[in-house]
Amino acid sequence: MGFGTYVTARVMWAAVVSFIIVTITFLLLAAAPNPDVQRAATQAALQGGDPAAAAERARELRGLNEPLHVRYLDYLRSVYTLDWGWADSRSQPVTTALAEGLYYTAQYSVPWTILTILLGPLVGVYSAANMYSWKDHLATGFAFFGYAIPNFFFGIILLLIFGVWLDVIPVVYDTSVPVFSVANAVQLSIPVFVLVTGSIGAVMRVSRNESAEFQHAAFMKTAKAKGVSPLRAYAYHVMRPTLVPLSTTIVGQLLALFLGSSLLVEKVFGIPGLGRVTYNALIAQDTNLVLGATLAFTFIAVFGNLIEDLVFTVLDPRISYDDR
Amino acid sequence: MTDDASPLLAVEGLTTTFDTDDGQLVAVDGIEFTVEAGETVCLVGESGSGKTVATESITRIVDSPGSVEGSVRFGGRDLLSMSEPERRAIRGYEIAHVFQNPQDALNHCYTVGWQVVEALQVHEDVADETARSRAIDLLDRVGLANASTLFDDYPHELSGGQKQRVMIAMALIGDPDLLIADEPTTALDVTVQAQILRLLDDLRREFDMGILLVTHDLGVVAAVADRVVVMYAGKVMERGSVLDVFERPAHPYTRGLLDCLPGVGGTEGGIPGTLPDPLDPPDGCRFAARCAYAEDACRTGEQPAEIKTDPGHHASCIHYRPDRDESVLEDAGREPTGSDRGADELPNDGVSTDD
Amino acid sequence: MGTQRSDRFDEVEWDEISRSRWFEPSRNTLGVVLCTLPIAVLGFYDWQVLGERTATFAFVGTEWDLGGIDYLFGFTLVLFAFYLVAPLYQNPRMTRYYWRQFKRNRPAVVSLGWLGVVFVGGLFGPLVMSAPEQSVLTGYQPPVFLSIDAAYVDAQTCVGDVVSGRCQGTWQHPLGTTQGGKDVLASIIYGMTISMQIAFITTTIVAAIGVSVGTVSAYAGGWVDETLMRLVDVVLSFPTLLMFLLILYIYGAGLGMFILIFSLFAWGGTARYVRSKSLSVSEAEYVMAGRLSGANTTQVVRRHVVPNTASSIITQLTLLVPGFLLAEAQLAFLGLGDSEVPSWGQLISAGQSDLSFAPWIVLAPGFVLFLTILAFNFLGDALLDALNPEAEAETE
Repeated sequence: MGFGTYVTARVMWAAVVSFIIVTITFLLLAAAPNPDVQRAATQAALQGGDPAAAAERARELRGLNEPLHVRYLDYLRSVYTLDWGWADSRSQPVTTALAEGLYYTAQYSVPWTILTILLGPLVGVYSAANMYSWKDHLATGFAFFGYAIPNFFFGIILLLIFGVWLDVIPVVYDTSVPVFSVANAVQLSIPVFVLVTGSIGAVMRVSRNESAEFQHAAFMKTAKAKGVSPLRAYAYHVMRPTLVPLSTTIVGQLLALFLGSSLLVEKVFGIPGLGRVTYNALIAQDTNLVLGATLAFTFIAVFGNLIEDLVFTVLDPRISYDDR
Repeated sequence: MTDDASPLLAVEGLTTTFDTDDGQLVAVDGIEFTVEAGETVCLVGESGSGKTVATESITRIVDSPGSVEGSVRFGGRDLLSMSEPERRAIRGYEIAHVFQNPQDALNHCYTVGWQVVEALQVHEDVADETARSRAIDLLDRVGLANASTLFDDYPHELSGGQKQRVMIAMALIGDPDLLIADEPTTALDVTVQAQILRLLDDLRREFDMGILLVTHDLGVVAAVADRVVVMYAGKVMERGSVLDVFERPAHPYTRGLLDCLPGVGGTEGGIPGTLPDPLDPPDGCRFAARCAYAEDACRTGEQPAEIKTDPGHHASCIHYRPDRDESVLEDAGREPTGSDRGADELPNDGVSTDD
Repeated sequence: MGTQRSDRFDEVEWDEISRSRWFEPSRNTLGVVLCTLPIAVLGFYDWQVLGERTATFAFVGTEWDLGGIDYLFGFTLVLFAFYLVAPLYQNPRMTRYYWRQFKRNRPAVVSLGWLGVVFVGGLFGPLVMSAPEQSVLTGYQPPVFLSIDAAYVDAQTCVGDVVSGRCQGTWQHPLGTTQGGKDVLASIIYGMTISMQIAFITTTIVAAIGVSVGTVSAYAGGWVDETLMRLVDVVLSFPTLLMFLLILYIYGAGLGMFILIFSLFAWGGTARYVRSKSLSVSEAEYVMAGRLSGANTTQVVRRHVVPNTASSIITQLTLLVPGFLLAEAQLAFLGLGDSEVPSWGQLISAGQSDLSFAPWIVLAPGFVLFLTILAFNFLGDALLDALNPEAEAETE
């Protein structure tokens, strides 16, 4: 199997996975009483109307009287055509609401991703090159600290120190400053630091352990005998093979943190990003938006897993496309 | 060295020490030998006798806790006292290495062409295209078919013999004056071994370079060597021209080695005993414990100083001191050394001790 | 392989230890059954006879009530006691060997100690301590040795002395109290129970599904293997937290649902590992020999595959637990957790608004959570080194 075929097969598999998850969301929704219908009924009852009739009207309005398979096909069509409905709580289309959230999420996610990818392997390889020195112990200590401290708890403490006591960052994210401004960089620095601390630990550990193995490999002696300088040897001959297992760790860590903790970090720092949109939709009982946010995160997860596999395959020349 | 005013490589008092948890490990202990331009010198000895460490000490590529002392003069410059960047400019360009196991010696993440070109481009500012065509020519020269497509292959797509040829091409791309080949055929199939050795010998003539070949195969030595250096437990036991050493082996250890060769020594196989503990070497001659001719004098003091037995032929054995009668050795030398294994059971690479 | 270096856990022939056959339950299995019975009977009694509103132990006059999670927790404790602790006790030689290996890693020993404290505190704390109760009058009491501006607490209600306008902490509330006057230390100890329940129940479910799917996949082969492994792919790329939020939104969800959902989507790695290990173990000579002498697949799985993968599975599970604890704390912090459960996350969430003047409400449970996650990570790392050097490479 060639590389092109492998990529095609893998992309199709990603489509299948997304399809399975979308189906699960549909089944979850279909099996439960629709909160909107219930709300209509409650409202009708409160206003002295007939709750059953109101519920029926609401059901009809939302097409819930159709047979299950028709609703399913309809659901699939709207999911994959990005026709995700109207977000009542924000009075705008769901996709617009999500895009607005993404705009703020991207502002901290981009620097966070770049810093993790750049710093993690560098510190890890440096740690391996100076193994068991105080620098290595310091880096290892920081790595363990990073992946053990709960992000939201770390965020709260840093917000207390830098926001409340030192007053260098606003306690609630200020959306009025321009994206590319010092003020924005300052207010995003602490959330980015919190997230980098969370994601970099595993990256550092893996790159340290893997490169520790490679720096004593026979090909390092070959490189030395060729007259390659130590810096070049580390940059090319240690870093490059380390990137193979590391790519999985990096994408995996970023993805896990993005799906798990960005919501928390946005809540703590008051950033109106994707996570915050999801949270507010949950609180405001905005079904369309909750569903839309879930789907958005789902597609990001599926896409991330696809990238993880593809990067790994591209990086390791030894991999045979038939094996996966 | 006594025979030529300025040899290509002159090693003197080379000592390599590793600090281990159990104490100081002297892997190479004050060895001395020379390599002339265009000749092949074979470094022979059992596994663990310090041959590999000795060759890696020449350009100082031994693993980091090792410390190297003594003098290594290459074309009039002392390799050990020069700065690391100066030494780096010589490595892979004037002195090239080929290692024992080609399986791991190539980085699995880069194409073989990239790795050959790297060896050139770290030394010379050569355009990518020029470097590529030079590398392809060389890959072709070392006997790789389809060199231009193989250039873009990854190491895992090559066989062991092909990889070793790539390693040789990588070593030769800088047109070195000295090639250090550390058991380049041990990890390969028997049929490929002969091809690689023949290739090295052809290339030596073509590139007019000296070769320092580490091997424990005396058959190889007989076939390609001009001169031989016999090492045992970090010390040089005997060195001289291949004719002298094979025809008139002076040191009892060399005789033991030669006796292991089928059809040369006769009936016996192997030398009884094992190498001494490198962390705690015995007094006197390192070989004394396994030597059939050892006397009390062999077990005290230092390793005996090298004594010239013929022009250009040295041995480190007290029996050759001017005040002694070396005929003791001559007579006893052909007696069996007491092994019950038949010579026909032995592999042709001789030393059966602990390989 | 099996007998040459038998002081290695991985290669011990477990038949020598348990000497059991498939149809003859071993002493340990008997113990599990005997201990599970009273739990089951009590649970049935609680469910059918008492009904929802009566406390389980009302007949002895206490208010102590048990829920479904507690019964499940009890059952997993029995499993751990008979399948993890008992074998260690029955094989002192092996235990000593491991202990020697393990002892070299000092952070891991400290971690084990800390987890021991959390375990004992979580198990017996609620038995000897009364649950933290609201007491509005004693809100914002500072921890012992610390003080708070008396403006935040009513001068009359400061439990300790008021010295120059500051209310001093007392031993009555060693870690202070929350706004509502709940004792922070007691809340933390009750939170230990929740954390231990999450840890034990999730690991049991993950191990059960992972081992089953892995071995079935390895031994069935063919399309069953293919299907199960694709299922593992799906499970591994599932955004669990988001799905949980969706379920929470549609149906509402308590701690039980949390444990169920998160463990249902965490067994992928374990299954993958057990499958590859089973494939390699079934190739091993002693297993082949066993098969030739008539052992069936079930026996092979039970006698060879499970024991030989046990150490790696334990390591993997140890490294999974912190993720569950973190997820629970995150949900609780967001106010989306089970509000009836006094977890550490709930406490952190409750104290967030008072952070600037009463930081102990957040800091105390936060550090306990941090230390617990850290301890699980250190322990997992040490187990990785002590039990199975290859595990690191194989579990990704």
